[in-house]
Amino acid sequence: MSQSKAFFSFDAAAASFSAIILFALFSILSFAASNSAKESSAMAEGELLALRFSSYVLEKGAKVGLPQEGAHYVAGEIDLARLEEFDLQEIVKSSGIKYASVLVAGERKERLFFKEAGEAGKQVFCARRLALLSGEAVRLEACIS
Amino acid sequence: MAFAIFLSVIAILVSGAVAIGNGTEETAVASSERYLLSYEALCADTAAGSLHGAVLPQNISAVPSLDGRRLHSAKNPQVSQVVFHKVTVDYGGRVKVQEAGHEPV
Repeated sequence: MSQSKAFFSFDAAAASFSAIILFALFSILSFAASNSAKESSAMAEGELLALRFSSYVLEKGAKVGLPQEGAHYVAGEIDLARLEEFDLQEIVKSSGIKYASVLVAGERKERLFFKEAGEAGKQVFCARRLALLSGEAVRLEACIS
Repeated sequence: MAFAIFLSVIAILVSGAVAIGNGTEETAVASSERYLLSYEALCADTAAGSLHGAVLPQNISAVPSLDGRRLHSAKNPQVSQVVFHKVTVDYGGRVKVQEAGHEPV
């Protein structure tokens, strides 16, 4: 009777111990996998959002051609006056984004235009695009958080 | 007694493992929905930006919000994505995206 008791408790203890170790390993692995999936989807989401925002800024700030030429948008060419009219505050408010900014910088990295709204969170995603301003190449940077 | 304790420990571990597994599955599904919605929102905004509007493909899984400024996942409504152009559903159930003042292509 005492032999069986001793054998049984040792066996159960060893099995419980290995089960606890395996469980701990499983939970660590599972936590790491879900964290990694969450982070990578958040990164893709943020980067695609910044890319879409930069396209939207390019679209809203696009230079309009002369009326006698049919008032068309000039592809890739931005107009600072139109960008100035672009209401970032409204975008932040209506879309639930925490922060948005638009920067236009010249070839020597001089700041030609900057506008921001909201408060930047922990992660800010930016998309940099090449645009034209009065025929000169400029860098358009649209950030979102 | 020891065997009963052992079984209880195993039961606790199994239920814990099931809870963790469910949580991981939920996170994975939400992540994949987030990926899908991001690409659908990219498709919608690109169409509205370059074509001034478009009827989105029938197999789109996103559901537009009432104000048309967000796309929600049909499976996981708490997963949503901002769109910069207005997305609407017409009476025929077609999902349309358009820039103000333009009819979808």
